Amino acid sequence: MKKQNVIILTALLVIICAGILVYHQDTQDIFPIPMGATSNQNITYYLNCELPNVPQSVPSIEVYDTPITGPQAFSLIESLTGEIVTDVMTDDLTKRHRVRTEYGGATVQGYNNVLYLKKDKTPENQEIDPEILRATADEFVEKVLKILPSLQLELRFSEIYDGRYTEYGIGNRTIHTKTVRYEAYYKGIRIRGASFTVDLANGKVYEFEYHLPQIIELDESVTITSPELALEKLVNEDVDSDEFFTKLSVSDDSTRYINSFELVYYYHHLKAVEGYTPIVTYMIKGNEVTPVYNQVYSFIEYILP
Amino acid sequence: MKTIKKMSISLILVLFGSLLLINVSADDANYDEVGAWYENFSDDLDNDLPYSDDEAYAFGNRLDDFGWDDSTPQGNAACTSSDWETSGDTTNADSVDIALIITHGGQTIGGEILLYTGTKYLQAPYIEAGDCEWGDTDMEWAVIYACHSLDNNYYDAWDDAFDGLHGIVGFRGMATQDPTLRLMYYFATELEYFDESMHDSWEYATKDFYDDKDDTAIAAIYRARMYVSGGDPYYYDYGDELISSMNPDDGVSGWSYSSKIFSSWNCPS
Repeated sequence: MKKQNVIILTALLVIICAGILVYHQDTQDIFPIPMGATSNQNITYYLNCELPNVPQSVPSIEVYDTPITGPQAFSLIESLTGEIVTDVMTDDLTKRHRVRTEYGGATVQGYNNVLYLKKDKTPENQEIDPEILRATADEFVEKVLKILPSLQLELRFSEIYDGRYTEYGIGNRTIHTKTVRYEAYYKGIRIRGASFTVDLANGKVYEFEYHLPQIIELDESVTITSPELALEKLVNEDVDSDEFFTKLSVSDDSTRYINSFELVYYYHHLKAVEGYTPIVTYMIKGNEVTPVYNQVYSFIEYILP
Repeated sequence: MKTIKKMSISLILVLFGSLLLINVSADDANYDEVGAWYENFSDDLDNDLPYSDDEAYAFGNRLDDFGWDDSTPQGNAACTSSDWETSGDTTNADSVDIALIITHGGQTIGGEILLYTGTKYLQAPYIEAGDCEWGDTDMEWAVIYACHSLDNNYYDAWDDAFDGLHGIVGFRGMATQDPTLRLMYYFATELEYFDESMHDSWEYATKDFYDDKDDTAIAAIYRARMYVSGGDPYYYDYGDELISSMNPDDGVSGWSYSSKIFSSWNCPS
């Protein structure tokens, strides 16, 4: 064998071994969906998480937002922020109040839905130990929950991530706030859309947003089909996402990696003014790669149980 | 003598006409014009956007409540890439102060951001960010209700579009429409009823409308800052205003673009 051929074969062998190694590393937690992975839209699915253990049925619930008047919204924001309130306006159509303070403003839909933002969008932020951030946020959450009407929800810490940031040119990023996030559960089932986030700048509470509805349990229940069946529906494109949203992009010919598969109550605070029954649904999230786009994007689908 | 008179009148008319042209080139006299373009993709069952028209009308109607001049939204076949892309230095979208487009969006391997027009996705022509030039006629703000319209890795694809433009509001990742709620109603209410800045209006509206933190709903704004040279540079938040007669490209009072700022936020935070 010529020396040149030996070099070429060796190089090929090295490339194949490297490929196998990379493939193994990328897919060590991924296993193909049992019933075959490719849908009619040429979407190839991989399951990268455990399927959830679900009960045979879950109680139906009704959620509502406790109404609030302009003067009550004034007092609420003053007590939550410690700032002087300068102005309150009410949009009668959507029943939302805009409460302006010395340093910011809040949207108050009711006692259960408040979004408070600062005027300054670029506060300085020092790197703070996540445990200290968490402790500060916990303390604030405790304070707020004492002011809210009593809740039947269980609030669980979820994650800490970059909140507000700006860039002057791509990649030149300045982080202004870190967000500590909590999510709400009712009898072990997460209420998607019910959350409390606390944004901290320089280790101090800066902005916050809470959507924690009041709940009434109804004398009805929803029967839950297995997650395996939901997965089969997903691959067969028998999804119910249109009941919840329409997305402004498409995903033909993509590869999807499922990273989260859970049963949730679907709640939207803007629809809770008069009270409504959240829909129980499987919520499936993950990443997708399409040949049209140049990078990994997220996807989300809903399947009714 | 008669000839001199005629020449004088002609000269005056020419000068007057030139003055009019100069005014038109920077901005027009009406500071409250809104225009909307949308695609439903109704011939494309996999990719239809059934609520685009409702969103477009919601925006115009709500601003109309506050005295804005809203022309009828241009939808589907009437929404074309030439309405937005530069052609002869003027486009239909650049004839209004705030222009909204609702469609499918995405970015390609070349780093370009594309907004699709037509009735079938990917079989239709598209608006290419690099081919846009806004603000030299009238547009202050572009509202792009489309996925990836301000992708955080490619937002500078819009740099050439800033030709007097104050800024663009859009989405880093996926944008969605709701069957019953109208994002554009909330946005217009923030702008006019609550009288918030563009940044705050877009932030309040998107955080209210998108209710679950997810990468599928990250709103963004890409806006210009101006500074005046000489002495200590003073930065003016031109990119917070909805309406301003200042145009950095006209060299008004020594102001010029300093930089553009990209900001984004999770919805909710």
